[in-house]
Amino acid sequence: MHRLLIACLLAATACSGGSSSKDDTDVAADTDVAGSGTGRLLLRFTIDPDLADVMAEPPVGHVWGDIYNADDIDNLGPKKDESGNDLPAVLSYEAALVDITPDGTTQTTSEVLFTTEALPIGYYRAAGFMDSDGNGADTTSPEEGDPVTFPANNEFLVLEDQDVEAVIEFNLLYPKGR
Amino acid sequence: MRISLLLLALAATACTNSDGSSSDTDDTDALAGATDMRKDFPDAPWADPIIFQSGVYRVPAASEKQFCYYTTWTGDDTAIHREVTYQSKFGHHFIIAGTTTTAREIPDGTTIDCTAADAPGMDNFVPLLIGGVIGNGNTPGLLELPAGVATEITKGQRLVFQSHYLNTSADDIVVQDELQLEAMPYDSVVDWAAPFVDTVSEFSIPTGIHSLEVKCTWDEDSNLLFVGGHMHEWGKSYSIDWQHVDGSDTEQIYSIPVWDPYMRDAPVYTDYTAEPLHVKAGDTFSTRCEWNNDTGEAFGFPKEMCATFGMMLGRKVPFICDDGNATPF
Repeated sequence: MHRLLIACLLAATACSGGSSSKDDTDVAADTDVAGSGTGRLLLRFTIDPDLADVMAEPPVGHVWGDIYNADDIDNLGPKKDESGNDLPAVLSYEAALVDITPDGTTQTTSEVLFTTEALPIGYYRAAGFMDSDGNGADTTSPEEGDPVTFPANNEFLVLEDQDVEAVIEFNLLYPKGR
Repeated sequence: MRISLLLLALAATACTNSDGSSSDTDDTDALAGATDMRKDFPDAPWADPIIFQSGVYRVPAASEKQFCYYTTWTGDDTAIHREVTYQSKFGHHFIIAGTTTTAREIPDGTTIDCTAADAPGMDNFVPLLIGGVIGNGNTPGLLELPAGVATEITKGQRLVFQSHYLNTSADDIVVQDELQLEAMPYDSVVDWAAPFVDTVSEFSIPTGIHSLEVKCTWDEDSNLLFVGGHMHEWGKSYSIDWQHVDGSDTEQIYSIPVWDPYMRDAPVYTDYTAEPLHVKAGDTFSTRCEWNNDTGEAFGFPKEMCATFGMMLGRKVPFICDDGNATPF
């Protein structure tokens, strides 16, 4: 699966952070009741209206991405294993014709467009992009101007035997020249 | 209405670092035998300042220490117009930066001894309030944007406050820093300022002296308020040339002939607030970075970096240029 190497020193206005309905409960399973030890993420998508405002086209398009264990990826992309290879994603996701065009200055969040398989409880991060100019199907890799995520700003907690809504926010436009 | 956010590194518990230095607020023992360098700083000359105070830190005699305090901006999105910083004597710099380190990794309210470059979180700093003059123990730091101009701190933004001290005295010292922010009503903002960065992420620095030239072409006309350079502790020299699309003479707009490692976290900016530097679409910034890799092995991004960055007027969204166009010179 494609990988995103986002070399960025900036997080100020572009990164207001992803959000989810996670809570702060201990991730450890209740030892008194035998649970599955797994839960699911229900993916929704959004973009800051300020970022959408500077896009060449509306934030509408196919979304591709990967879900990683939170410790396996940062904003520079997947971390390396001992052999120097990228740590793998846990799963890939995609959603067709995502339309998150803001309503004026009001941020728009999509409905749930992808449900993950059951994941072991713990923290996960989402990397992904929107093919807003409709030419990413061949490579499934972002190009200049496509909205992309900061994985560290899109971290979610999978809770046992729960479906957790994970709002993935596109934090910047893929840099010029990459 | 006064908006004061007083962040004390320690609410009730002591925080002792592994070398015995302490960031304890109220522990009398931590103050024993130390010279108290704390002082009352001037009130901000504007109404309703937002005030951040660092923890109270103890710095051993004849030593250098750096403390990083992590928190999250829990207020609403805020337009910031001005920043002033103060330090106790022997202060080298006190900065506020954004960070991509999550609260899960370093919880809010945590103070870390970040003297070592590889301390937790040190690779995740991102510029937040860019520009102005970094102050020290003798001189306040100041970033003031032009009238009506603000830059935004957003709700949920993770923050790190870094206090750097060089205690050249024979006594342990106890110190504390303060940062004052001036916020503007959103409907008073005439223009926004946003960061830009020209960088390259795919390069390798072999052992010894090595240099790269990184070019980046502006995508649209832009007005720059501040321009600065960024490398890490192996940096040797840094310069920026401005090549004009109209073919007029190239100008050098920035030069650091002798790079100092402290510039990694306390950059030196060229200030264009009095007359913004107007670059045209098609103009190119040519950044030259030179390093002395004395580690015995090659390394690249992000252990070292070569990034020209600064603040643009008239944009709210950052401009990032990473065109992979880096060549030795």
